[in-house]
Amino acid sequence: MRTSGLIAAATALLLGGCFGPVADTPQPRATAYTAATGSVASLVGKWGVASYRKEEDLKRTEAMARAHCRQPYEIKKGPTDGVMMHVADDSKLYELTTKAGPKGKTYLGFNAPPGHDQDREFISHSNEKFRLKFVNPDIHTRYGIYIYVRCPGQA
Amino acid sequence: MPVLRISRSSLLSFCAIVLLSPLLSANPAWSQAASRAAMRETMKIADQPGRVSTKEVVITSGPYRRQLVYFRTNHKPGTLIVHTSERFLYLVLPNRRALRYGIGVGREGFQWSGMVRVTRKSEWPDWTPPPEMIKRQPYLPRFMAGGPGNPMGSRALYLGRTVYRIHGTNQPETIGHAISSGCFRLANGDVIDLYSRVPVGTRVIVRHAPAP
Repeated sequence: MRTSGLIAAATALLLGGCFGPVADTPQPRATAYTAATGSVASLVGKWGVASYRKEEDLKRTEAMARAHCRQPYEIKKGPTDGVMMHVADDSKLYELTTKAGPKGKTYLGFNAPPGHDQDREFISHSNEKFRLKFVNPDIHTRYGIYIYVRCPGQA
Repeated sequence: MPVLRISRSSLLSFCAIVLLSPLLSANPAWSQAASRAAMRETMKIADQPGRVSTKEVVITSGPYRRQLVYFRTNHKPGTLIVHTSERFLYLVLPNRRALRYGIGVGREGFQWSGMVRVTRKSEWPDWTPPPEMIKRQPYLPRFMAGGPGNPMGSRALYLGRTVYRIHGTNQPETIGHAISSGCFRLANGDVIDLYSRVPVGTRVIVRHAPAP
């Protein structure tokens, strides 16, 4: 009787853990938009960052991004399923995530419809470098396209 | 018409050729003393990377508009003379004339005086934010290729082998003021005009003391 009581209590605890939140564990936010597979994890790391406007400047801008690994931009994993990054004109870090949008486009931004005004669109993306373009045309004019080049010495 | 007279002693002291090297920025002890009054009146405005000022912006009114002035000097026509305390840049012309431009002077512009030459010119120059700016605005790129949102503006004249330059700005309201960063800046339209008149090799003389 005593053993069965213990087993029943343990089972109740286990089931409670299955069906209810455990205190202090960050909960995955309700993802309303399909995240591009694997893209968020690939952003974590240290990056050399530069920006350009004309395609003819891309090659040398990429070289300058690589050279500026001496002052890298570090992207860390967020508390839920995103990464901690900045948006334009704001020094605060926010958790952003990747979002699959129409026409095969992928966006980085808040939990809002893909292509939101505060999003950036991936122009290109690989494990070693990626480029982001601001969706907002005014911000794009002001800052150009950002290129991130992974700094050496990382896994 | 305004008259500027340069005394022989002042001319001799500023005609000494000072070949500035990039080491200057790392050796404050080598910096020349600047007008303390000029430095105190610093316009409290930070660089605004990303702000767009069109290339057509020209100062059209007030004392800092581009204008032809009466100017007495022993320097040859074609020489650039920068008066930081007055916030003017003069392009010496024949017949005791000069084309005078209003400028903004950054902290670095007060740190040295002497003579250098224009060694390079660039249209829509690139910009590298200083590390302390990156700390305040970590969302900035560490390098920005030239373009309308670039704080260097539409043109740059590079001075000697130094880090100093005469350039445009995306903040035309800073013309006529001392500002916290940068060197010598002109409104974009004015620097385009100056750029067209000044070849590589032009002598540039920087002085801080007001005209006698």
